[in-house]
Amino acid sequence: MSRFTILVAEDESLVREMLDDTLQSDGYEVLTAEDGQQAQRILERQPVDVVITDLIMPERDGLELLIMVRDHYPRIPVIVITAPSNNIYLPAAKRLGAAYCFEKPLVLSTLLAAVQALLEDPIAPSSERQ
Amino acid sequence: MAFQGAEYCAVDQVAEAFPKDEFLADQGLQSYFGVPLWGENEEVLGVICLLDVDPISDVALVRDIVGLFAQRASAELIRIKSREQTIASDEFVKSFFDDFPGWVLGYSTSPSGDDREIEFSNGRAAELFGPRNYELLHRDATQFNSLLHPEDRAHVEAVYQEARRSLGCFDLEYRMRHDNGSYRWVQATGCFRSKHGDRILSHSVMLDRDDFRRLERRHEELSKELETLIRAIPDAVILQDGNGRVRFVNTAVEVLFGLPSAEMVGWDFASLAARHPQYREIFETAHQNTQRAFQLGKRFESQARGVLPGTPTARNFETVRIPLFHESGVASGLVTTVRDITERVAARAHEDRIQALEARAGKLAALSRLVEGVAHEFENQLTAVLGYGELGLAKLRQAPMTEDTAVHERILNRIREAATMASGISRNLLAFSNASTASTGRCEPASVILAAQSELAQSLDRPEQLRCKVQPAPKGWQLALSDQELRDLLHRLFLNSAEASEPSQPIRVESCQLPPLEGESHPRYRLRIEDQGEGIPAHLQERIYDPLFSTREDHSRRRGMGLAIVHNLVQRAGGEMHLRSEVGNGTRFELVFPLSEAVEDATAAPAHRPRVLVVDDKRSMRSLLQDVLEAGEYEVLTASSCAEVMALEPEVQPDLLLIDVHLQDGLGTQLAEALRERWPQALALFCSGLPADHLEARGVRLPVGRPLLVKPFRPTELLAAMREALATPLPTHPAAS
Repeated sequence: MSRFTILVAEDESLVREMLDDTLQSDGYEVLTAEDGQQAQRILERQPVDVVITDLIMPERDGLELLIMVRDHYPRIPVIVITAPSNNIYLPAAKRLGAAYCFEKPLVLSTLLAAVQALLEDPIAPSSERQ
Repeated sequence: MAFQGAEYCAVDQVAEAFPKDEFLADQGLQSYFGVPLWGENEEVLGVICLLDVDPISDVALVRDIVGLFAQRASAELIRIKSREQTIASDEFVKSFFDDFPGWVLGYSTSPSGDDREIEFSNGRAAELFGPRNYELLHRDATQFNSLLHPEDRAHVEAVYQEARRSLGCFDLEYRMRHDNGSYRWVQATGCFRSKHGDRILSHSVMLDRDDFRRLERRHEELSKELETLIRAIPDAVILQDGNGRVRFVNTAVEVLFGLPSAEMVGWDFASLAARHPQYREIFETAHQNTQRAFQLGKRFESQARGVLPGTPTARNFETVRIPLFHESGVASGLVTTVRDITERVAARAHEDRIQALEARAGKLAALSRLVEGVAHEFENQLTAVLGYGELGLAKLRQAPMTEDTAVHERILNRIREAATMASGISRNLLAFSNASTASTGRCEPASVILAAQSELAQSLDRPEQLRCKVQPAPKGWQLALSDQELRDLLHRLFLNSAEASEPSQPIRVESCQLPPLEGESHPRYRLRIEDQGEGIPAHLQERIYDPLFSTREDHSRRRGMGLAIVHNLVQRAGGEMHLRSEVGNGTRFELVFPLSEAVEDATAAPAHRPRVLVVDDKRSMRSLLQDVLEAGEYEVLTASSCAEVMALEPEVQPDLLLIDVHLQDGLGTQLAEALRERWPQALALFCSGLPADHLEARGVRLPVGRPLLVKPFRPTELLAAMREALATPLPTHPAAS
């Protein structure tokens, strides 16, 4: 069975690398991008099964990436992770079609469970954020 | 010698006795006899002498003859001198009367007064009655009556008749008609003195009193007006004379002292203090201040707070005293005004408080942004720490067990715990910053407290430990916190009490309405949370609201943000927070909030979604903006040009305008200007591919205080800008509350 590919868009290198390590260690192929623009270029180049994105990033941010995925790759589910703030971005992300939304810091087991769920049933409904 | 006042006689050879007198020698005169001519007052008027070419033979005869001539000559000289003097005196009198600033006249009347004749007159009457009437009077003095003002005629006639009868004096004022038809006031003073045959003689002086009367009338009018004015002004006004006696008080004084004017006028304050023992203190103070004003000799102001008989509660008064002095320096009076400045003092205090709150809100907003930024970064780092911790644990579990596995697992678990706790701190910091930022939330406190009650009770081992007594806020009034905020506040305070108490010790939550503070209109609401737990040591009480301060030795569970957050919320709602606590005797927090007038539908379903009109000529941009804004729970309308916007129905009524500065058919800023009248409530936000300074360089004026969204902007930035714009009231339409 070919490995699933996860695209991680996160500007904070430490978090990006941690997600990279964790997902790889869980057996996924991981592609990383520092912002929405890099993520878009990757999506244009190769197939991706799940996108995990931060919301606040330089250049294109997570919301714009969400819109881009929704419009051009409607079958790719997106998981949003973001630092807690004043509750305006997460609801917007949900409405733009994010499959799951998590606030940082993450409980990795939950994130991994979400990824797995999406891969098993890509049309899973948007769930409660953690 | 005769000039020196004595007779001189030379019987013979007079020329030889006076050799320098050539006249004597030329005429061949031999004898001289001279005597002085005496005036009335024994002064020498001249001399008379007899000269002869023969010696005098009979000196006695010559003395008699010359003496006789001297007497006659003296008499003649005296007569001439007297006549000269009389003429000079007449001229003096005449010029005096002519210059006298009034009509001086003498006249005679028949005993009945019907027949009158002017005997002399100084001619100034022409000025009083005009030349024509003056002529008339001179021709026929009986015309006098016809020139009298009809209202004065009877009185004047009666006075004159009595004076004529008793040969007495008169002094009266009446009006006389002038040539020009007007009446002038005159004052007539004079006497009926003597009878000459059957005629009665009278002299009289008539003075023009018209200017005086007019001034007097004006003075009276002015006095009345002034009095009315002083009575009408709301400040209390007291006029005193130089001895401190009250001369006048206006209505406000009567109200303030609870005494009618008549009880005060004519008395000084020392006497009033004695007469009205119930107001002794007030009048004694007034007496001291009166003396002080005269001593100081200049205006002085004072402020005091107190209860006066006319004011049921304590009021603030501002008193101004202005002493008046005669030119000689003697005190002539004192003007005192007393103004009730309670409202002004309250308003100033209110303003100060608002300013302090605004300043604090500004600082807190900056702090809040900082805290948000810090929390954001912090959570990112914690994500990595926790993630690696979890990854480490997972790897550890996959790896074969060694003797170190348990130790490593424990270490990784401790790292995770520490990171989780750190995350809790960061979340509390966010809550603290949210508690500081302005929100428009309102709630009905009693319903929130009642709703939270069961939840609070459930968190206790013994639910009956919670004792609740709640009174609703007055109808139509609300507390300036959202439901969620008040619930959060209640939870945090309650948690503190629950932790400090034994299960057997009750925790009381009580709330009630309080009346408005003096000088304010809004009622207040008090919330008390009281426990009988361990209490807070006095030396720690000052610091309990400091962020991150905890009274607990055990720092393992929570960081002391709870009270800091509560305190911020209370302050934000304009309230006060009081602590009463004693070690071993429990703690009581008392929160007093000012209530605000209820906002309509504040408790109803969430407000309608704000409507945004997006104006941009690029389709892709419009579509992106629409997507993001709709995701942000905005209702979105789009237009591609100024013309398209102007064609919209006015009923569209957007709350926000998001306008590109450079549109194909005009400037977005001008479009916004044109829309101000149509949709005055709509806030305009601008976006552009050019930064603000470049726009300004091209003559585009952006409204002050609104940030410009510079393309390409990120959706998160857009949502943040929209939220901020909606949270900031329009400068021209300040929020009603």
